[in-house]
Amino acid sequence: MKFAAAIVLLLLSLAALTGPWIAPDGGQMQFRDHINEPPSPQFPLGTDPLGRDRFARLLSGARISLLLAPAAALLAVLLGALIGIAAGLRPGWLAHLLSAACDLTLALPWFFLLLTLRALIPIDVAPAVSLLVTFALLGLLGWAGPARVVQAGVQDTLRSPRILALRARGAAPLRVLTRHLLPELAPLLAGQFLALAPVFLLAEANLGLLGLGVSEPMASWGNLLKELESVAVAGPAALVQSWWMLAPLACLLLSTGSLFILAPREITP
Amino acid sequence: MRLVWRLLLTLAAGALLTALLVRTAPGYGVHERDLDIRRNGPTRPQLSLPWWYSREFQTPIHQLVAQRAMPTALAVTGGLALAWLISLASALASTRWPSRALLNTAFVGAMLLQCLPAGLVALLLLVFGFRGTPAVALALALALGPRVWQVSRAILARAASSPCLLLARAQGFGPWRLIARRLLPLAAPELRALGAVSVTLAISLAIPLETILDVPGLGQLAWQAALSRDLPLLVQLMTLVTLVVVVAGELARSKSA
Repeated sequence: MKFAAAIVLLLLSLAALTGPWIAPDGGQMQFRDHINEPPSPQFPLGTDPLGRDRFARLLSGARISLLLAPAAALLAVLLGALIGIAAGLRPGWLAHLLSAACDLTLALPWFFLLLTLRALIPIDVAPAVSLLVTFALLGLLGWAGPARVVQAGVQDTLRSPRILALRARGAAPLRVLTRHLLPELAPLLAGQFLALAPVFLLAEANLGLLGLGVSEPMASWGNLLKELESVAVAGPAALVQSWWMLAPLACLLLSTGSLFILAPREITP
Repeated sequence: MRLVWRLLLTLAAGALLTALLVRTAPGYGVHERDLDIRRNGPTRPQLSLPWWYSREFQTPIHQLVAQRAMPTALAVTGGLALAWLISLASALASTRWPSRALLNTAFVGAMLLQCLPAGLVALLLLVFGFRGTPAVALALALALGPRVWQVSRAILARAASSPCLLLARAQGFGPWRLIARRLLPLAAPELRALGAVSVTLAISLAIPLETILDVPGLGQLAWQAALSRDLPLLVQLMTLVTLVVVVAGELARSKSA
């Protein structure tokens, strides 16, 4: 199961990375004579109301969603690791302060917080800025979960007989941290990364559906899904007739499903 | 008393932090329309409203909240009740009648639902003609149910293998008595904590669901405030929602203590 999930992710990532060769215009070129067309050999997933190639936009969206959601997860895990290690290594006022900040962040309904922080930046910013802002916010808001897990992991490891023996023999704290603590924490951090990446993919999709994610003309799976709104009101028959518009949904399902399968079972949300 | 202090301190810290962020935001106090040169008409009056007024709606925020709180409360309560009813019942059933095939099917279904963004669940309900507050409650149940099922099943399975359950079984407790008298009380603290987490999740999910299903609740209000950069409204909504979440968390914690 995990092997199949890894293959699916690899194929999706390959498609995303080879996108610039398959569709060099990145889905931004408008074909004014081919507005809202169904799939054809020239446009495998048809064109959108502005005459842009949907397949090229899907590949371009894959590059953004599949590269930046994991990047945001990496940022969150790194921040969480830094804070968690600091809180775990230094019991006292620092640990209390960091724990309180962690509690506060975990207690807040994070989509409200995300929306509030997103609203601090003007909506009409340049597309590249909206892209960076969206994923940076996701990364900066996701630190609390990993920090809590890392703090507990550091405290557990520091209490283990092996580390106690090392410290009793006078091993330098930095050596304990780099040679013994970090290798012990690596699987924990990898697990947190695998758990956060699909959550961020879904959060970006939700933001895109609300028009607050990556802004046009850039494509992400989130803002491509927004196109479904136009057929949703027309009923199930219209959705079936426009099956090609479900391609971003299929990609999102495959990638988040694969990431959930790859995440250790006990931390999958 | 300690609970009240903790509550007040958390709220004050949250509000202070958000207010600080808002105050230092680029273009603070300037309406989104005024930031966009294309929509900057010469007749637009300058807004200088007190902080308890919404810039977008030009109405006192407490009035907006009073108007919009009921649909959200109904949807969140209904969604949570439905999600918990189905999830707990199926988690208990899988503990009582463990079947590998059923469990795997349920696991795949839960995973599929978890892979859908909540907004898309709402969109799919819209496709099938669901509208209004009941649709938001149903979408919430569909989005939350799998997570609640997965965690509650793990909690119940762990509790079912504890020594006191084995002892009760050896003492001849019937299956339903075992669940009611031993299993549920044993798992109750963890289930209560999960309940508090699910309240937080439900409130967060209300934003995309109410927006897409066009229900005039607090979630849709937050979205409108974000689109128009109505920062006083957003900060006060955030504080209100934090209050609800912190109270739910503290209630779960105080019952567990």
